[in-house]
Amino acid sequence: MLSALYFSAIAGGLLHADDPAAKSQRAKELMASGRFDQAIPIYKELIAAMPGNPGLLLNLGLAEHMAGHEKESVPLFEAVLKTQPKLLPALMSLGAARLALKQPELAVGPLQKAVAAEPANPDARGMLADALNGAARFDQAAEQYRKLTELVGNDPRAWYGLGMTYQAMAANAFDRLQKRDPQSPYVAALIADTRVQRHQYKSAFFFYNQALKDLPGIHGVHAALAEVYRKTGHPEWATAEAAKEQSLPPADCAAHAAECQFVAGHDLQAVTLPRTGPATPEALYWRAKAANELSLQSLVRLGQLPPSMELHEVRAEIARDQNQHLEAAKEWRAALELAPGNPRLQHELAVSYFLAADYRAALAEAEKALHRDPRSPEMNFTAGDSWLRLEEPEKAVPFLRAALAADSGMRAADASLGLSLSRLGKFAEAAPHLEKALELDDDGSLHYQLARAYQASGNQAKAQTAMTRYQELQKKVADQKEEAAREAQILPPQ
Amino acid sequence: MRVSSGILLIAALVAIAATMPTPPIRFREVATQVGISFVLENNPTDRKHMIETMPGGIAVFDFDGDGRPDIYFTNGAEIPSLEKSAPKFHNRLYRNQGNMTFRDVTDEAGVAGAGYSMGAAAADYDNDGHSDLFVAGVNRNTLYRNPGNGRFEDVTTRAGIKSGDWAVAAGWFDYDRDGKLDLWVVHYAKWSPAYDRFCGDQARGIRIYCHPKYFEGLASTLYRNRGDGTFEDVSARAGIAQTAGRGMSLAFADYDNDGFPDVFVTNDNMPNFLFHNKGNGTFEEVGLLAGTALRDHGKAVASMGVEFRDYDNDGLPDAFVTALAGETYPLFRNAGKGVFFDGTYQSKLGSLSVKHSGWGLGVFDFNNDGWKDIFTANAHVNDRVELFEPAIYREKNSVFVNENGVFRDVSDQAGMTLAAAHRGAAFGDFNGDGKLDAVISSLGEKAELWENISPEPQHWLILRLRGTKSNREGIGAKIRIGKQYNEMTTATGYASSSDWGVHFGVGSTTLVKTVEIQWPGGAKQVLTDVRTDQVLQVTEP
Repeated sequence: MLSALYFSAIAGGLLHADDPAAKSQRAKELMASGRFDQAIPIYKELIAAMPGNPGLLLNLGLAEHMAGHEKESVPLFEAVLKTQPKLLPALMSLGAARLALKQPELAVGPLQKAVAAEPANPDARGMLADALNGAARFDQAAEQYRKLTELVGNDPRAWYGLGMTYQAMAANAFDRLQKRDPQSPYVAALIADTRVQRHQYKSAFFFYNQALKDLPGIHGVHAALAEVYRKTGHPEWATAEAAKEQSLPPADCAAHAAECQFVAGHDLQAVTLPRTGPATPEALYWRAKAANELSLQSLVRLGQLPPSMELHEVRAEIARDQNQHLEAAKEWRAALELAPGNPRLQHELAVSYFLAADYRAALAEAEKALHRDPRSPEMNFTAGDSWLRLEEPEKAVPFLRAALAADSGMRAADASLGLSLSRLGKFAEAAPHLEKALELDDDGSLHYQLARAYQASGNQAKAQTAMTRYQELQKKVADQKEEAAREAQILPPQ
Repeated sequence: MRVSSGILLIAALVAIAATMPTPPIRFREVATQVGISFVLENNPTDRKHMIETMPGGIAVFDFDGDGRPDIYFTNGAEIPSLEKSAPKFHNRLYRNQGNMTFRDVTDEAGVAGAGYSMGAAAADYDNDGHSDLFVAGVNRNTLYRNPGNGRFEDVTTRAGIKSGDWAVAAGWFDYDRDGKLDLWVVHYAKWSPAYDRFCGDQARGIRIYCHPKYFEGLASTLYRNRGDGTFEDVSARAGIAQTAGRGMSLAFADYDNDGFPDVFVTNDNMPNFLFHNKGNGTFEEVGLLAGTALRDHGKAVASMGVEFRDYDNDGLPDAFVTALAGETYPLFRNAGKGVFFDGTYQSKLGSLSVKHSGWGLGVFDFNNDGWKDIFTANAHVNDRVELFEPAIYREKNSVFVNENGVFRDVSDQAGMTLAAAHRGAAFGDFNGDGKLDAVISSLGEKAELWENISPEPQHWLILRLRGTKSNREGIGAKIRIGKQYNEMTTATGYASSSDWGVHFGVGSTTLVKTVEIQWPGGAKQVLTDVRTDQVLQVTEP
């Protein structure tokens, strides 16, 4: 799209005739052949000769932007917009640069102007929707995506964006709800919904029942519970539970407007929060439910289009959510076939391979990603930890050190490096890394590793303390499992 | 000048030793041609009962005293009755007739068994010169006494052996050194055919064997041999009755060299147990402190089979464990003073085994070069694992050759070509050529007999011990030849048993200068100038 912007800038006659023709022509050729870095000094020379020329400033800005120098491009676009505030290529390029710099809030302004200047431009609207979504302005983002689906109904990116925005809206509503009242029965009901999505029916059963203790008249939960019974092979119990749903009186729409809207299938209304006063847990609950429903509808539309990168992404994310990491990897691979070399997809593929415990494949993908971005802490960690799990700690160490050099707070890399160094017999060097990683220790294993490192380096007192802590954490985990097992019983309807 | 020559000569010898190629290991599969047609009928059902994936113990022992090791296979049963309702479920005894031929003598020996059998342990518990047999099973154990006339007697009840729990494996040892073999029985977990938890992906309708965490583990049982044909359950008195695990197998060795045999019990997805024999009739579980409970990462693995043998020729028994893909086959290296370190990485066993899942194993010197190698019976526990993980269900077996304490995977060169759901493994020299052969069971498939046809003419020595004060087979005796160290034990790998003596490979040596034997009864015996390439009967002085 940015190439198109460049050529439209040229076509718009923004290059001045008094530029030295040869230089201008050369810069143009370099841009056309993708050698943006080489075009930059030529444009700088031309600007030095003709300071303030907006066409040249725009071209230099585009060259910087397309060469990946986002910070350098921003002041150039801003300079152009001072003299030509409605120039579409400058507005869109500034928006794109701000998005690339992960400054979506700052991208919104220029992109809104671009959309105002050309309402039927799908690129401008798509970028605006992305920016609004990135800035967590979900209602506005959804509105822009909806308009985009009207403009380009066959473009999978529009439906994907809409679906993801509603998903983000639902997650945001859940977070707000949880912060406001973590013990709320509405929280329990939403947790149960996510457990159903992950096929964790026993856990879903527990949380639905928790919700029903305080909200016996809420609509939808008995029906969801009936579905849990069906999925777990209890059709008679499912029928009884479904009957309870049927026997619920209609909600009082004056007191529970969102519930009424949702039950009536008016999701766009249910998703809207009251304009005045703080959102109640109940309003946030129905917003989350409605947003999920709207997300699902968008993604169903996406599924009706021919296979696309976006469709495979959605499938991959669903599979990942359900802990089906091999399936997720298959979808990321399919997405990559439609968008070869896409760095984000490669990253996700590496992560899915890693989560699927296919460390050889994870390593291969991480190394590809590192070729492009050698400092990526996540990919260095993925590569390093994969080598460790393949029992080659000597190969893990350089990657893990690189991960920590890029992100010194990456405790998982500390843990992995600590174990790698222990395996290499460097116990004294391992201990500080394991100490740093202890905050991650939810099962005692890091304390165990630390105890062995202390023991091997002759520090028996510290070894004893760490081993005691290991045993305490193990006991805690065992107690939690026992409690979870008690919770996990699926019982007949009361 | 002479000194310099000597140094040069030593240097040259060292260089030669360092560069000498490891003698190759070769096997060929001969089960059908030698007359073995056993199929392990695990009776898989749609309900995915956990027991279905776990049988397969084998005993190799010389039941008829003709000097040739015979083979006993345990077998499954009908579910839910847990009865051997048809001959296909019978346990099978194959008599080694010589010339590498076997004959099924199950019926005449009276050892078809009962119930869903899992493990086997052979040894001469009554010191009458005939190897007896214990069969561990699901809620049903059997003790067969061998009177030496070719037909075994079921003495379970008379001997005081109990049933009722799911026993996987068992082993014979003399924990109190009174000269009478005692029996340690390893239990897995509480289970009955009524157990019907659905595990897997209900939405996709994929049912799999449940994770071990859903089963409540059980403690082992220790039976003390009274010497009158009966046994006494001394589990509580010995201090092991409260230590519940999900036991899979066991191995014996005196790891701290205090004169009393200790017990390593593998646990499925729980820390392994190392029961230190305190020498006063009681045991203390010390796995965590000793460093054998867990690998160095501090997480429990699905420990399956175990061998407790010295692989690095430092005179200390080390522990080898098989586990599932991604977990490696952990090696706990005995550093002395009761402490073990995780040697999985340093021995290279980690990177060699990380993609494999293993059950039975044997740590023996298959190429007779003086270093113990490893044979593992491979397969995953979950027959649908390929739907969920980058692991393989039916695998080929592995052979890892030991090169001065570091292992190398030679499975392909060794001829490991058959992929199957391998389970038990036992070992013996079936054709008397001094090279150890392997017998392997596989769920739903024919057993495999891997004849060792390693080509290099290396030398060997097998010692058959005859205790007088000690137990008749000298189980627990410690034997040293040069730097090599072995203890006499019949417990092998996963739920299996190998009872035919103690094997040493000695490379190019034709005359062993000294063989030192420390008998469990206390006597020390030194044999000098022992000719190799023989099965040597040694009687306790």
